[in-house]
Amino acid sequence: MKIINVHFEKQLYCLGLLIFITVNSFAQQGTGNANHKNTPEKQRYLISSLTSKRLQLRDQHMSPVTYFGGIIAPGFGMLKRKEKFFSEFSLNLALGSIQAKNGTELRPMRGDYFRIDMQYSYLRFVKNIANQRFRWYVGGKLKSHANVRLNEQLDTGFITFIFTNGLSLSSALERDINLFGRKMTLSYQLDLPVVTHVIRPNYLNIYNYIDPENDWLEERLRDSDWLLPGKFTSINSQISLTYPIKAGNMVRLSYGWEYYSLNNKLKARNASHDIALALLFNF
Amino acid sequence: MKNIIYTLTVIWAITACEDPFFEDDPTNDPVTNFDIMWSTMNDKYVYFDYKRIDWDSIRNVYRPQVRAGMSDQALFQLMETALNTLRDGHVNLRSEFDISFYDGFYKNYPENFNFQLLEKHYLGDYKITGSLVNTIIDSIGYIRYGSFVNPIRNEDLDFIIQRFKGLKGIIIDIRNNEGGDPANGFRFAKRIADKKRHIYTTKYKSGPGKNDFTEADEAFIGPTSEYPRFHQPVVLLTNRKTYSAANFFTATLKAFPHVTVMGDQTGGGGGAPVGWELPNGWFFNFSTSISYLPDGFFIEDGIPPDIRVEITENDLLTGKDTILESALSSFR
Repeated sequence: MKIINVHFEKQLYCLGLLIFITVNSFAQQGTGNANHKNTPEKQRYLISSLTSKRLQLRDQHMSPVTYFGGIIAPGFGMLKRKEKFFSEFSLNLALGSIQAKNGTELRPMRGDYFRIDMQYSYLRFVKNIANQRFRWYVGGKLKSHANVRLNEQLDTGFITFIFTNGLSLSSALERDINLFGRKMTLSYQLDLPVVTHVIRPNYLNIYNYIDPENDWLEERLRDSDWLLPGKFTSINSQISLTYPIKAGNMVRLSYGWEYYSLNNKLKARNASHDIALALLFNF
Repeated sequence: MKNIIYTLTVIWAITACEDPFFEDDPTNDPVTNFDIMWSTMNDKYVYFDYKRIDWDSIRNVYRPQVRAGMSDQALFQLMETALNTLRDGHVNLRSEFDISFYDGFYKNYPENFNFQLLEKHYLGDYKITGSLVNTIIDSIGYIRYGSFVNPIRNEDLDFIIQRFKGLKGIIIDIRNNEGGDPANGFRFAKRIADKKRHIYTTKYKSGPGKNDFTEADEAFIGPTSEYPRFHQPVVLLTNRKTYSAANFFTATLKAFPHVTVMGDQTGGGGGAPVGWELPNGWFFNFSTSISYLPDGFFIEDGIPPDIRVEITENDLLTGKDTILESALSSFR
């Protein structure tokens, strides 16, 4: 059963890539000084965050219909900024429930949803652009993502999951703005995958539990794939506003959109809208 | 600068809505639900060839009977009838008002088991160690395991092995055991195994094509040095309600020369079942793998005993479990 508009999705990835290149092309046309003067020499922050996610998920292993859910994801991380680069590590854990629209009390189409995201990004300052108003960064991101769903009503197929580990290209634009008499930073970051290792259940969403010597992990790794965009398409887009508070600490409010799709034997789609509030503790 | 703002606006507009990338859900109507059930089975069910079932013809018969306005109960009955043509106890359909399953593997055969009779005439003052009823009858150890759903712990087996030390033989009774978790069987079988042996071979469906199967996986089991084991000869008692994980347990023990299978043929259930959801929230299970013994015998329709024994009506009237009696006699 075809559930996904693959053609449209390829267009999306191409468009994303085009935007990525366009943003960078505009940036290269800038007249700014290559020296980044707006950032103090070295800053380090511990990050504590809380993200509210609204997601929709279609996974053929789980159901022919789309599941929706709202989840809360606490997280922590570390941000390091120097004059020429910034790097950020983050770990987010999420827990919530998902359900399909056709479910009823007696016929529940619901599941528990667990998710872990761990990522490390490193972006180097390229130049100031647009009359020094924007700082442009380019770099990469290593990202591990695991989401597991437990749908009790699905009996032996009650566990479905996606584990991905991948490398993405990242580009970011930052601009300092004044609001309420304070200097804040507005930033936008876009990530596009280069290559991703994906671990999924097999075609039947079953493991070989009737072989007493079967190794579940080995079986999963045997079924795993290295996928390029097209087979695994992912786009992460985030807009953030960072607001300084006392003692060098900051508050960061972000809106993120994430979409990924898997186009191998059994297809999966995941999209989420995230609103995150983070405290950045200077140390 | 304007260009950058425009670009950001475009990015925002594109990424703020994922709807174009998700096709519409299949509609929740009888026709779509039937079609998804049929096509999922068509792609993933494993025994069409073995059972000589033309699934297209099943569709040709039942699909025209599905009507847009039919009731849930009528649709359920129709789908149940279509699924039961597969003659597979692992195929069932679940809704909020009913669960359908195929019962032909035991319904038309002698029951060959009566626990009340056992309790009254044979078991005496038995122990219940975890999930295992155990007793000693005429210097023979007897273990009754009623369901593979109930866990067997290593401590339970340690206790019984110690209790049965020095006895002439062991009888393991899995009649009317309709399965559960095969891991319980593996734990038990490791205590019976004399050495590592090939127990059966399994292939899973790996794609929608008729011949899409995984490589054959040969399963082995053997004793572990970690735990003690039974050293006596073993008789395994089976009947037509010995199904699924109990069928696999029978296949496992059949690999060991000191084990004799006695009673009636097992009910079968040689495929690992998995479940799938329909747009209306109903759920159906089906077999996804084929398993066969080292000699190539398919276990889907049951495993014949080494010694066939049946309990007659007359035996029941006289309070005699002929199968157990035969097992006890085999040690004398």
